[in-house]
Amino acid sequence: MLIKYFADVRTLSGCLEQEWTRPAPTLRELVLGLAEQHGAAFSARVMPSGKLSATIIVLVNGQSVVHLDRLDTPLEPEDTVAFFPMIAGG
Amino acid sequence: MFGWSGTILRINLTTGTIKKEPINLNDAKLFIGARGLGTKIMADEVDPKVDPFSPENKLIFAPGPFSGTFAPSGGRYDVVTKGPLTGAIAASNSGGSFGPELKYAGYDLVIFEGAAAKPVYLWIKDDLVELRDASHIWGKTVPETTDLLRAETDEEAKVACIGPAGEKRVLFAAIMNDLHRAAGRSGVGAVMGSKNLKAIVVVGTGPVQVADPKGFLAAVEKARAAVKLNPIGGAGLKAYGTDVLVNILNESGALPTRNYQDGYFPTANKVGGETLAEKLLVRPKGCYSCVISCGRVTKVSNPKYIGEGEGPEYEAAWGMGPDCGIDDLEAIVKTNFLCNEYGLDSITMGATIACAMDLFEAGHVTLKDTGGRDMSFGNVDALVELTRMTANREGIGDKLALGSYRFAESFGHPEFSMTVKKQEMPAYDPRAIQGIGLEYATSNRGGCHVRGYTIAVEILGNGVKLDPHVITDKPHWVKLFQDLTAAVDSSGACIFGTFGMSGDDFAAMLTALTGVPYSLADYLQAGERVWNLERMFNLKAGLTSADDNLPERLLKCPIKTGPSKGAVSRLGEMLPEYYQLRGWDKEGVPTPEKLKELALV
Amino acid sequence: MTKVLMIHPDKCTGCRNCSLACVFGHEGQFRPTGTRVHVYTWEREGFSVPMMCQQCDDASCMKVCPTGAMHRAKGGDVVLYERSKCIGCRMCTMACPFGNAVYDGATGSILKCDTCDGSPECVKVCPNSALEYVDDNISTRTRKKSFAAKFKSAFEEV
Repeated sequence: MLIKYFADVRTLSGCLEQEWTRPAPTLRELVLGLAEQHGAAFSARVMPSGKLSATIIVLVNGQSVVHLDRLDTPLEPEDTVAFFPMIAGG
Repeated sequence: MFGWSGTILRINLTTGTIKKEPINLNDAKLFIGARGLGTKIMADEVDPKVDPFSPENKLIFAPGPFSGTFAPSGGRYDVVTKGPLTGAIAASNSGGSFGPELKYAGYDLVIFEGAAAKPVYLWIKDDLVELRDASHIWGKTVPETTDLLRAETDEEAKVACIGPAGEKRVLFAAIMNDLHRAAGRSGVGAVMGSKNLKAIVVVGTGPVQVADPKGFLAAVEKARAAVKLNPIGGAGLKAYGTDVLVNILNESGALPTRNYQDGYFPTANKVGGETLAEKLLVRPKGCYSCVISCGRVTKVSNPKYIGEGEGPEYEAAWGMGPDCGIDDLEAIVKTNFLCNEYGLDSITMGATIACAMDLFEAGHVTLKDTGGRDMSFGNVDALVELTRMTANREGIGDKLALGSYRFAESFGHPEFSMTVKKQEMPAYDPRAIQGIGLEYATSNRGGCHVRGYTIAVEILGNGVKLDPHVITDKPHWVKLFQDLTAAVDSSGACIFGTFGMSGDDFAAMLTALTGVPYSLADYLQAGERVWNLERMFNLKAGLTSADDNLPERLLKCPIKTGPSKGAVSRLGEMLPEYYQLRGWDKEGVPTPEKLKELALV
Repeated sequence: MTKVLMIHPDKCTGCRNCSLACVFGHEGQFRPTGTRVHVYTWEREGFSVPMMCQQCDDASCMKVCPTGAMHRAKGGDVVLYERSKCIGCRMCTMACPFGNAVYDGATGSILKCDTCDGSPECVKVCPNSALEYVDDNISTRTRKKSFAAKFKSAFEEV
């Protein structure tokens, strides 16, 4: 699974992107796994109090998880998951 | 008078006469100011069939009631005219400090009529208004012009001017103010050049008065707090600027690549806002009364592209970057500096070069046509040099100066031009984002994103998150954004205030400022009124519902790669519902009932 | 403990909300010549500096004022301006080395920062934290610390 980070989420993850090989059947497991690796700040930003943050955009293969199943969105090993803060318009 | 200054300045450049008239307060109430009031003047006084370069076209500089106050990010103005690029009504919006200064000098509108026999500039210092010789600055760039004019008037004067591009009537020439701010689109700068008007220089010392100071302060404080809380208005735009959109559009598969051949650009990150902030950003910049500060002060030290200035914004970086298959950020930033110095619309410039590259790779533009210059996608030297050549109308630049539609048409292939009503669509692929496609097709000034910015809900989820791939309800959302934006533009406020502020906030501030009661419904209706007035002007100018369209490529050719692979625009399914919601007939003509409802008869 | 109105030009984005808040707070309208805070922007470099009265301990304006209109309350921080004593000689505008005392022809008075009675409007409104109203002993703390942090980063890399 390819995980990509953008804007200030990169500060929380410390990297632009990473490969995730541990099992993650849904987005919730993925975020919990990433939080274990990147720390409490990451978890607090993306999944405060167990819910998906309203100011984080998560795309799975380019689709916003808001239109899929939010934290229950099922994931496949070949998926690309991207984390964006809601940060700007033009 | 509260909010409005109360006076219109009317300059006849042919005769040299200068007149001051009181503002029509009834029109001001109905059309608010800036874009709305400027369009009302155009509708009343100019034949929509007029040749944009004829002396009969008018050029109107119009701030709004908010301009000069501390309504958050409320210091903007519009330049309104008939656009030479599109043949439609043009209202180009700009920030900086110029608009407020016109208000302090005492003017809600500055109307230019006719044309001067020789280059002139207008000098305004409060009541003092004079036309002065500009022969000695004709030909100078925007920075040179600004310095010279301040030296002969007031070192703190605000200057709005054209560069060589406007003088040479490049069809997408811009009017620049405060060096780096642009009334960019539709060729308003070329109209100014056709009138031999080089600049307006203004110093203003009078007040903008407030009807209900306590109420205004309360409404403003509420609005400021709302923007501060919003992640986009409160922090994101200041940290990264609009260019941070590159990556999210790309990851959504909606970043138009190589003249809309595709919707995904693998090296997009190299030209995004994160990279800009890291490598070339000096500091953020804010316009007059701005609480957001999305402006980018940037500097390139690389000797090949050395320069300093502001920008690029997202749509400019896109046009000169992924749209041209280019991922060299320094070259993009330098090209944007050049556009500001010459006075060119950075969006149309980039997109026109992208179109030329597409035609070149397809063999329709040959090395003979280009004077031996390779113009393949990704050619960075071509990007920079063609921009210089376009501004000066040299070589193939003379043809590029017509914009991508006329350029492509001259080579027998207008279908390569990614335009609506001959204006280039920026930066968001309508095949992957259905709502913005409807905005592009129906925007009164042609291919334009900003006047119906459904990206805010389709991609960013500001307030609500809509699925970009579906068409359900999109006509409703497009109309809502279009109407609210028209009202915000007409107030003299920056549309980025909507990252936080609601229509209620704007209406409350306007009411307290002017003393004229605007409910939310009144405010949105004013926007709808402006929209319909623009539509009527365009219909009389000869545009029809056939012009509410998108290029074939977006309707028929699916995106090739990336997350939105396979998608096309479903404009045809959305347009009838849009006309219906607007209260227009099947030909997209406002019905008599609708015009009556909006007090437009 | 004295409070100082500290300026951080490196954070200023040139928005001029400070100037607007100043004149509005004093007059209830937006008169550009009525502000006591002036912002200067160098457009090419994109650098902006807000300027207002520095409430000098040894104030030149007070020294030259013939009527005591420019005065300081006993034990006070702020150099105050008593309009009723002012004769409009404008000696203060000549004496201030920074140009922060400005003669306002429209009202026939001197404009200079009075810290809005200890609750400066400009500080409240600045969206970029370029203006602070702080205790004197920590007035440069944010700046000093942000540079100290660079040493921290440098040593962390080794």
